[in-house]
Amino acid sequence: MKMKQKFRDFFSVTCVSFTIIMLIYTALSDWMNADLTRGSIFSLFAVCAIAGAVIFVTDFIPVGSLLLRLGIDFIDVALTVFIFGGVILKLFSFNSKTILVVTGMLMAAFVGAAALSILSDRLSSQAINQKIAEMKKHR
Amino acid sequence: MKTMKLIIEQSEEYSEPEITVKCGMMDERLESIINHIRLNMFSVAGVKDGVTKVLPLSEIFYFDSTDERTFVYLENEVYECAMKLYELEEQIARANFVRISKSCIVNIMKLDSVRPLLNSRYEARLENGEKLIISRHYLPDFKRKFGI
Repeated sequence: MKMKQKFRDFFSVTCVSFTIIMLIYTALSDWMNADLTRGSIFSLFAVCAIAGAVIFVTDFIPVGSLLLRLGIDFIDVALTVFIFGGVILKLFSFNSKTILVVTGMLMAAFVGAAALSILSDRLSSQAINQKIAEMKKHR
Repeated sequence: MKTMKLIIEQSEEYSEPEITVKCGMMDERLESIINHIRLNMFSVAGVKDGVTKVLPLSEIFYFDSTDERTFVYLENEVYECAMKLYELEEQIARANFVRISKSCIVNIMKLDSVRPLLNSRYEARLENGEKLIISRHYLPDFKRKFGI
């Protein structure tokens, strides 16, 4: 895939995952005793951006299987969230409750980013089919 | 829609036909005409059952490479071609053909529709009902061919 397209995917993934994470984090902040401060918002964005960047890099590994590709992407996100977000930025503590909630959050963000990709592909295919129909008309 | 002049000069002075297009701005209609001319200018020699036949690009649905051999697919026939896929790609890239995977170059004029699959791959359905996979690596080039 061309570099420009890959960068576009990286920004889309980062923005969509950040939005989803922010919504869930805000909704659960009281229950999780997590403060929503300026610092935590920037930290969450950094986690999303780094996860997007890791996916961007590992995307260069040629993988034929769809399941393996999704698995690699999910591991990218999980490792970034737990190592960068948990260990380095200390955004959450490592207990069973938070690990469960964080895993749920990252799964939601992952599904959201995948849904965006599917939607984008569907729109592109509609545009291509329209062009094909126009080409046939001109023949 | 702008009017278009068609001037045909026929004379025994000319040894080979020559097409010159004079235009200000290139519009979609003119581009379509030029693409049709390109399609008919180039042909590929295909071999089937020991018989060599000249195959005009306009009849070719797609080229496929398997085990270092290149095959030319028409609506209902398959020929073998001596050229490599990369050589063909260089020659016909401007004539409505586009690479869609490591082993396949398709004629976009023979496409019926496309539909997205998972993992940013597309399935292309051809006019003869055949289905080809557009790999994620070649998708940007494919989209560009349609101005997307």
